Amino acid sequence: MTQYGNSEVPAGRDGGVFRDAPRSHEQALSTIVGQLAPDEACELVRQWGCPDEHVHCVTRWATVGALRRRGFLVEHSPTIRIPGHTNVSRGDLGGDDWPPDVSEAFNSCFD
Amino acid sequence: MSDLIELGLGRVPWEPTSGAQLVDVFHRYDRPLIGVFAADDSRFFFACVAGEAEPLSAWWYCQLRDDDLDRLRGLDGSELPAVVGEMVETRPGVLALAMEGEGIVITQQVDNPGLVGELFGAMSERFQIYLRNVDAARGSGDLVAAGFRGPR
Repeated sequence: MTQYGNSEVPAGRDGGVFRDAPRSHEQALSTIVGQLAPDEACELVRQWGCPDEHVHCVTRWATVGALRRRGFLVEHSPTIRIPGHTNVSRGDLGGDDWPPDVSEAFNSCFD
Repeated sequence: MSDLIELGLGRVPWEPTSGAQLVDVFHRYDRPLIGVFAADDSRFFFACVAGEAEPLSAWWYCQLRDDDLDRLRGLDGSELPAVVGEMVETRPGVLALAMEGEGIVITQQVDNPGLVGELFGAMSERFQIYLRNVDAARGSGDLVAAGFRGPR
């Protein structure tokens, strides 16, 4: 599974590049099936091209098994734009219910 | 309700009015990015047009026409950007800027779709003022530093 991020705008709760908890109104983080390069993932996420020619695009990878072993629910949730789109969640627990240790567990799944 | 929906400040971009309900999501990454919601017996199209993965983002809204939903549902991923681009460039609608944790903070009705680019520039300036006024420390305070460069 691939997670996409923008190194210029860290989204992790402790300043990490990658988002490691859902937004407060959301219940899942998105990943994409496969081991994608930064430009490949960016072109799926952004509809109208990368604003900086992928200079700040980054990806990291985890296996479904690693995520499930750490207690995450991994569900294939294809969209028209990203057929390999997958939700990683803690079931019904939303972004306000992800304490720091859950974010740490999520981050530990990635290479 | 007029064709140009009135968005609620502070609401999340994909449910931008009270009572809005998502009908379809055609593109998602951590949050719905392109889709359709229902509100007040009408259906509206929304699309994130900049800032898909960033805390600052720009969104476009217009009323859905009768055959739009079937057309959108029949697209494949490679066709979606062109169809969405055509809608943004040819239909009256509403542009909005949203900030993570704040929701929609600025909206602008666009009666003349040819002016979308100019209006976006003006909205970005208003957004800078907004950031300075509310508390720049909560965000970057600088749109470019925040990875926000506007629609392509």
